[in-house]
Amino acid sequence: MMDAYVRDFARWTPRAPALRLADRRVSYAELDADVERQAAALAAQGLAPGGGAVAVSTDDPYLRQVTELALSRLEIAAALHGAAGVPLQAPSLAGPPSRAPPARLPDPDGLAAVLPGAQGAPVGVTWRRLERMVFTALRTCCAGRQGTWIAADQLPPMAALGLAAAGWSGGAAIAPDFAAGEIRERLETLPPGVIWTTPAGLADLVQALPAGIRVLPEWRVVCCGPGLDPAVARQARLDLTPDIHLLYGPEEAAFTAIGTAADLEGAAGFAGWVPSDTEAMILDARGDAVAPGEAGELRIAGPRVASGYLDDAAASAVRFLGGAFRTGQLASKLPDGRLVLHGAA
Amino acid sequence: MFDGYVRDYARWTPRAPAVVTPGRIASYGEFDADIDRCGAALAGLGLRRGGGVVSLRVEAPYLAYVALAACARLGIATAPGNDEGADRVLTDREAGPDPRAVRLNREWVQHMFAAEPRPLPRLTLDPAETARVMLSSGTTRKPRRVALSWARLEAGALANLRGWGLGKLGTWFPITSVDSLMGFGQAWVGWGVGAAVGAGVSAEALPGWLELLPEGVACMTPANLRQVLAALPAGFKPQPGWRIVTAGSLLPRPVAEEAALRITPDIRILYGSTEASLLAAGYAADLAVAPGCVGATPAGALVKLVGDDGEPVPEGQAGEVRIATPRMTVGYVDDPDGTAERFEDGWFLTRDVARRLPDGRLVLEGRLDERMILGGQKFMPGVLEEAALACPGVLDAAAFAVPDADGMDRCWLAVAVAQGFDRERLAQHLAGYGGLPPRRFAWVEAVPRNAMGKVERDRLRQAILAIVGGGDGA
Repeated sequence: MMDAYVRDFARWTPRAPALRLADRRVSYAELDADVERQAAALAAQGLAPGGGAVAVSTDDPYLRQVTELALSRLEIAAALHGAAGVPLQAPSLAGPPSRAPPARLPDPDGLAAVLPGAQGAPVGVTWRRLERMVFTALRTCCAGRQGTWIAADQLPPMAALGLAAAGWSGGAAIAPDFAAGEIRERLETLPPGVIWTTPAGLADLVQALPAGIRVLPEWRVVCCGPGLDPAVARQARLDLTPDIHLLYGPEEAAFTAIGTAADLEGAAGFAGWVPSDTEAMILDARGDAVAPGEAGELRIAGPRVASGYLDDAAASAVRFLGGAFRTGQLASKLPDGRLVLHGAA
Repeated sequence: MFDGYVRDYARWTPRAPAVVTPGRIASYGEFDADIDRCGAALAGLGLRRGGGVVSLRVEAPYLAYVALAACARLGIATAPGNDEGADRVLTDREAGPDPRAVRLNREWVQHMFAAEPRPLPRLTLDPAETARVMLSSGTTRKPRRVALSWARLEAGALANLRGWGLGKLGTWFPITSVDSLMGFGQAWVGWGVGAAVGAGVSAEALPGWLELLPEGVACMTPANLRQVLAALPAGFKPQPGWRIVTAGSLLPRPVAEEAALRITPDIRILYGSTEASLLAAGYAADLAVAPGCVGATPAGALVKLVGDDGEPVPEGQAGEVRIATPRMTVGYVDDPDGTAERFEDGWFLTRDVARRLPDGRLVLEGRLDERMILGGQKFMPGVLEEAALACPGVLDAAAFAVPDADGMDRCWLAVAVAQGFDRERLAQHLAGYGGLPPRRFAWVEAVPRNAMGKVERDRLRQAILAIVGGGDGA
C-alpha cells in the first residue's frame, strides 16, 4: 500500500520530489522505478508474503527507503525502528530495470509493518490500520498541506511511519534525515509543508533559529507526543509559525488526540481533541470511570487501536482489555471535552 | 461517519465555515448543533435506523445538508430525491398523496431549529450496513439502485481525497448536488478536511463565488463547465487558487483549454462509476497527451482491461475496463439479474472501453455498448467526436450508429454549431484525420445529454430512424 501511494504519484506528478535526502533529491518516477527494480530483485531472492516481518540492514538511507517500499510492493511486513524481524541485507540498486510480480490487493488484515510498542512489546500495523491512519492524518493535522514534510527529530516509530505513509499518500516530498542546521536553512527555501517533530526537537529548532530568519509562511508543525513546554510553544508560534498541531498517539493506538499549540495556554503538557471515531476512557485503579475532571489512567478504543502485541499473549493480556488499549498515561478531561495528559500513571 | 467529521471540526475549529449557501454561512459549531437538533426531531417523526432507506427531497439548501448529516448520525440510510425505490421520502415541498412522504413543513423546521441541541448518542455502526443508496447513471434504461455501506464510504473517502482533494481547503462546491456520487463525495470529504461545503449554487451562479472567495474546489460535469464558461461576466477576475474537477463524461479539450485560460490552470479529470467509485484521476493537461486520458487509478484497486473473450488484452490495446476494490458496491438493490450481469468474481464490469499508456494511465475510448461495428470494423464514437470538437465553431458533437435499410449499421454524427457556421468546413476538417469511419451529419440545436452529461445516443438513433425510417436518407 505504501508503495502504491508512490506509484500513484509516479503517474500523477512524476517529476515532483518524493524524497529529499541530505545529499540528493529523488522524484516520484525515479523512486517508483527503483522500488520496482528492488521488488523484482527481492522476489528473485525468494522473498514472498507469509515469511514474517523483514528487518532491512544497510547504512545507505536511500537504499533503506527503497528496500522497505519494495517489501510493501511484495506485501511483506517491514520491521522498523529496531523491531525484531528476519534480517535482510539490502541488495544494491545496480541491476537492470526489471518488473516485480503483478500487484494484488493486500489482505487488509495482513501486516504492513512491525514497530516497537510504546509499552515495549512489538506491535503490528495492518494494511487496514495503516490506511485509516493515513486518512486521519490527511484529514486532520495535515489537511490541505503538501510541499515538503520534514522529520525534524528522531520521531516516535508510529509518527515516523505516519509521516512517510501520509506524506507519500498526499504527494508530498519526504525529508527524513536533514540535520538540524540544514532544516533552518530549508525553512527559507523549500516549498512549505509539514515539520514533524517532538517537544524536545521543537525546543532545539526554535532555540537555534538565527536572528533575521525569514521563515516562509504556510509551514505547519506537527509536534508528536506529550510534554511540550508552553514557553517553547509560545516562542515557536512567534518565531516559526502560528500553525502548530499537537499529536498524541501511542504505537498501539495511533492518532488518539489532536490539538493546537494555542490549546496549551492554561493546560500544560498536552491538550487535544479525540476524533469522533475514537473513545478515550479515564479510569481509576479499579477500572471504573473517574468523576468528570479527575485524573486517571487513559484507555483508548477505536478503529486505529491494534488488536494486541505480536506473539506476546502475556503483554497483550495486561495492556489490551476488551479491545481497548491501556496507555499507562495519567490523563483527565477539560469541561469542554479536551484530553489533558499528565505523564506516566 | 461523515457526521463525525462535522463533530470533529465543531471541536477543532468551531467558528470556521462548514456550509456556504447563497443565503447564509453556517459555522462548524452551528452546523453540528443543527444536526443534533434535526436528528432529535427526525427521531420524533418515527425515523429510525433499520426503518428503511429515506429519500431526501429537501429543497432548502442548508436544511438539505442538515437532514443528510442528521440521518447519518441516526444511522439511517439515505437516497437521492429522485429514488423511486426508497421506503420513506423526506421533503420540504408539497408531497401530494405519497404514503411514503414525511413532510417537513415550515412550522416543523422553525421549531426544530429553535430547539435546544442535545448531542445524539454515538452509534456503533455495522460497517457492512447500507449507508447510502445511489442511482447509477443509465443512459438508455431505468437507473439502477446501488447500495453503499459505511465501510465502502470510508474506503471511497480516502481515494477521493487523494485523487482530487489534496492541498486545498477553502470552499468546496458540489455543482452536481449530493444526489450524484461525485457531489455527495465532495461534500463528505470536504467536511472530512474541515473545508466549507457550498450548497444550492448552480453552474450559472458559480462565477460570482469564484471572484468572491479565496480558494477551493468546484466539482461538476463537463456540461456544467460549459455552463460556467457561458456565464462568465465580461472582465471576469477569479481569485487565484481554485481547482475545477470534472467527472461524469469525457471533458472535451477545447472546453478544458478555455477553462484553463479564463478560470484556473488547476483542472482535474475523474473517471468513476456509482458502482465502483473512483476508477482514475488525472489532470486536464493530460488531454494534450491523449484525448480521453483520465489519469491513474488511486491505490487500493485493481483495474484490468479485457477483450471480448474476458481475457486481458495485450499491453497498449483497448479493452473493457474491469475493477476490483473495497470501494465497490456488492451489487444492485433487489436486482439479482442486473447484479449477475455486471459483477463477476469480485470484479465490476464497467462496460467502458479504455487503453493504457506505457506509464499506466488510462485513456478512455467510450462505452462498450456505444462501440460501432461498421463493415466489420470497430469504432468508438469518442474518436470521431473528439476530431469534430477540434473544429472551430463546433459546440458539441455525438457519434452513433443507425441501421440502414439493409440492417447494416452506418455512422452518424450529430453536431451543434455556432451561428453562421459553414457546414462544409466540418467535412474539410474531418478529411484531415486518418482512420475515421464514413459518416452522415445530423445538424442539431443541442446534443441530448443526461444529468451527468452523458450523450443519450438512443434518443439520437430513434430520432434518425423516425426521419429516415431505417432507410438510407440524407
